[in-house]
Amino acid sequence: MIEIRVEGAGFDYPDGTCALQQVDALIPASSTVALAGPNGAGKTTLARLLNGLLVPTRGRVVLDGIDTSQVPASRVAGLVGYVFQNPRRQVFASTVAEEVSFGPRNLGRSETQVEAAVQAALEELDLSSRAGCHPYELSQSELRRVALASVLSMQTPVLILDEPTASLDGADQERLLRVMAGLRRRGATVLVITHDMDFVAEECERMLVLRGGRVAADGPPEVVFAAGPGPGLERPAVWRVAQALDRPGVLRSAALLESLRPGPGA
Amino acid sequence: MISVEKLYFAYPGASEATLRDVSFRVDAGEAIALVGAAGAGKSSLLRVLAGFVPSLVRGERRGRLHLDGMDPGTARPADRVRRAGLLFSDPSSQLSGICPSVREEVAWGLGNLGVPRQEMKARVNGVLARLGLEALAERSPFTLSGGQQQRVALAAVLALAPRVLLLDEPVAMLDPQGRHEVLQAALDLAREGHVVLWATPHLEEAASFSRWLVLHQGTLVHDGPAAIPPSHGALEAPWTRLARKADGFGLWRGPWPVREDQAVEGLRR
Repeated sequence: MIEIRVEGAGFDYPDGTCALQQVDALIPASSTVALAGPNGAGKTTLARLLNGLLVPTRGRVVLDGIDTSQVPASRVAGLVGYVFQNPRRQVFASTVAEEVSFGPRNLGRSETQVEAAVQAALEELDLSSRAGCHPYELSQSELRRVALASVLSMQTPVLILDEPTASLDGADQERLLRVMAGLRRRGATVLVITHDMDFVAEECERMLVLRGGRVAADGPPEVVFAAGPGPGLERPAVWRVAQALDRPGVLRSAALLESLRPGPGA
Repeated sequence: MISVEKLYFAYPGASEATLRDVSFRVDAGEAIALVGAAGAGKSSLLRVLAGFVPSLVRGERRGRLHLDGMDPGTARPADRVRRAGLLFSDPSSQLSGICPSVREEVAWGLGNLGVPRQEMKARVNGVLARLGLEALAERSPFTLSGGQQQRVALAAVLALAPRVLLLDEPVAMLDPQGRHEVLQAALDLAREGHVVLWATPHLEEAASFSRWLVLHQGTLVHDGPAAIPPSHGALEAPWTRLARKADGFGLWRGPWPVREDQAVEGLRR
């Protein structure tokens, strides 16, 4: 159960380009939080500060009381798993099973633990029958699932998912929801970088909106969407459909459908 | 402008063909959504149309293919790039990786074609303006966000002024405003006489196109106005998910919606 505190953190590239101005945020332990914002707002930079790939050039990031700039990056990597948007950036081993066991083995888990974690992750993502395959034999969907499985198998207390719903078809969407439910059950802290506001509305209890390298909004989706998410972002499709059906402010599909069900008197 | 007849394509060593018996025709000035779930064959079809097979991507291609009067598979690269421009779905694999500024990145392909300096300047400026990239012109592509890089990659393709634009999920990394702007730019280009083929798994994007080519497991299952063929349950939009859930509640009748207003209408009944 890990809480993340971001205290005045900012980042400049060596050439002086400022990617993140100054961010203060608290991501409570075991919460699922969306990181939204227009392109160039600093979402990916902030996510990289959280998992130790980058160290802030000002301010600090504190994970479970540990200042990320004061410990080796490997220590942070053991706490925070990062699933990249593009699986080709991530997958490199010669079989699916090897790929998925790399993370936990690297973290020094015992072989028995590694085996159990790999099996569970492959099963969760319907990849058990593909364990012996070379990643190049896989479809795009399977490759994305391997990238996700190889982070799940590390069982890190914190996960960052970068645009997990982009290019997903129906079956993959179902699998992702299953994974999200599993992460909630085991108390993981999850940060989702996304432009998919319907996913935010359905799955996240909080959303952090970045704009121009600063926090523009921070609160439950209901509150942020009621105020209007601001330029570069839109409200969920379900919100708009609900509006058109005289159910203003409804964000989640289950709530909308419940409200449309004919009542006992109808 | 494009004519494809009984196109078949298989990657080397693959047990199954990626594209099977694909036939369609496209006229100049048409903007078409190439719709399909992940793995349907969208990117492979675009690569074949761009002439990457067999010179850059190996594999077995059969069937007839004509694009602006030539077969792009056998044309010289310089002839090919003036006719068909392919935007990759991953901008980082498209950008040269060696240009210090966005402006030079966009000019890179023109330099390779030997376009005179004055004309190059005018074309680069025109494309940067069209895609709203003027403010980023002197920035290093390395310091840009994913969405900004995706726009720069598109600018580099447009600078070559190909008659056929093959765009592979061109706005996957853009925010809603950026998506809208790039979509409008693509529709404008079609009105100016270009062909635009816009590949996407997202019905929200496809909804802006009047003609859809729907791919499913390598075959063309629909060519016509926006519609989801009944066999094709995998295509997703927030409102198709809503309609499916509504079906579970006994609140949905009729075909799956392909636009948001159809979802509203369906639920009003």
